Amino acid sequence: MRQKVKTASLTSRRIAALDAVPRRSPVVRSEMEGGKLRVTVKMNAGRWQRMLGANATVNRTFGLDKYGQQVYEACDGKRTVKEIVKGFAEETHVSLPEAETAVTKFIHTLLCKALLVIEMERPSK
Amino acid sequence: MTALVSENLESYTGVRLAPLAWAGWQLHIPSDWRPLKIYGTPEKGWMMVGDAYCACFSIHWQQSNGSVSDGKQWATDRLKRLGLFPDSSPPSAERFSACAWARDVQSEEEKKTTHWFGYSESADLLLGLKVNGALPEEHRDSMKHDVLSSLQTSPADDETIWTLYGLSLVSPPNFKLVERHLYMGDVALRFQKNRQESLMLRQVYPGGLALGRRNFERWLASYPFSEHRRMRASSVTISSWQHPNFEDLVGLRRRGCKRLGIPLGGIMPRWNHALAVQDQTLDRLLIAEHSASVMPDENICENAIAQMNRPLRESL
Repeated sequence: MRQKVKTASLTSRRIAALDAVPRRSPVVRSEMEGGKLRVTVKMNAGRWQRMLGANATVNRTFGLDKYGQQVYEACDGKRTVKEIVKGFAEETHVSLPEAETAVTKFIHTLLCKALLVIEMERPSK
Repeated sequence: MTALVSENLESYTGVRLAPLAWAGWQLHIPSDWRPLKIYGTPEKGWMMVGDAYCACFSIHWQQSNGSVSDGKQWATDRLKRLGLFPDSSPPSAERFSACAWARDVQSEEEKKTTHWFGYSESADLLLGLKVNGALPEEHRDSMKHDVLSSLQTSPADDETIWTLYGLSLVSPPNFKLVERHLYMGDVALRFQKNRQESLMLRQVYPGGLALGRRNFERWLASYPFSEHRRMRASSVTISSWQHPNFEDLVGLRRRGCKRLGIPLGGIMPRWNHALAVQDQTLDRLLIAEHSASVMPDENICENAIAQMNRPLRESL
């Protein structure tokens, strides 16, 4: 019974995550350099950095290759994660399960680096 | 060779279908299903297939090696062992020497399991397929109309098709699968014939990303399986190569000799012919490496490269 409840909860969380719409966060600078897209975003400085005299906010730059750029640019605030996965699978000719794993992991990385924000409903428990 | 189940088909429920082939059998699955676990050898093994939520079915195979005289009796006996009686008109009956099934067997509350058993004399293969009884109704329909009805085998003495994760490889006759390397974006299978000859087929994708990290030569040098012999630099010749029939298959050809370390270098050297090409249509890096005790036949690698992802390339 407990296993069934756990599976149902995982399922609803997965559906909620795939239906979510990621959006690029405002960037300070975005430029192409050596075939890579370099995106600079403003982030809060870490506690230790502030204690050592750094400013409250710092600029951080991330480089995205061709495939990273493709996913990043698809996060336009209109398409769901599911649609981005489908588009990536079609463009790169990889299978849907592989595209889903790669794209969702990459979106998670972009969220952690504050390059994306995502709005989603809290999944039902 | 039996024609590989084609790409771009739609399922009974309107979902896109993808081919899945392993160890001599082939079928269609909805494109969001994937192999979850593969166990055993081409002689005897099983594969579990499912989607992101649960296992949908498992398929067991075993080479009969002439142990089955009456296929119909064997299939019926398998059902009887499970305490089941065979139902009429099993799917794919026209493509098997004998088969039997028991559909929607209520094993537990809310569970309806389907069992299918078949024997193919030309493929020398016994197959058993069990559908997860806890599947939702639409998945169970898809199993009956798409998966079970598309099941077929290829003759035992013919080329064998290996298809999963949207890629396909074809091994020449009499080459047996001995090792596999199945990772996301990097799939390799190693086949052996008479312990003297070995063929490694590999696909790395996306090809642009793979070649951005290593060039063709370094990809050829990185063998995905462990081996005692090493390529001797003095024996290596590398030349550019393009497939005569497919202009989009361009890359390198390497010929050379792999030997054991000093002082055993003179013992059983392996002559090697390898091709690494970029499939510019599908953006994949395709590698085929053939080793033998004498200089291997170059056509084997060339054919293996030409046959990789053929149904997918033809459907584009």
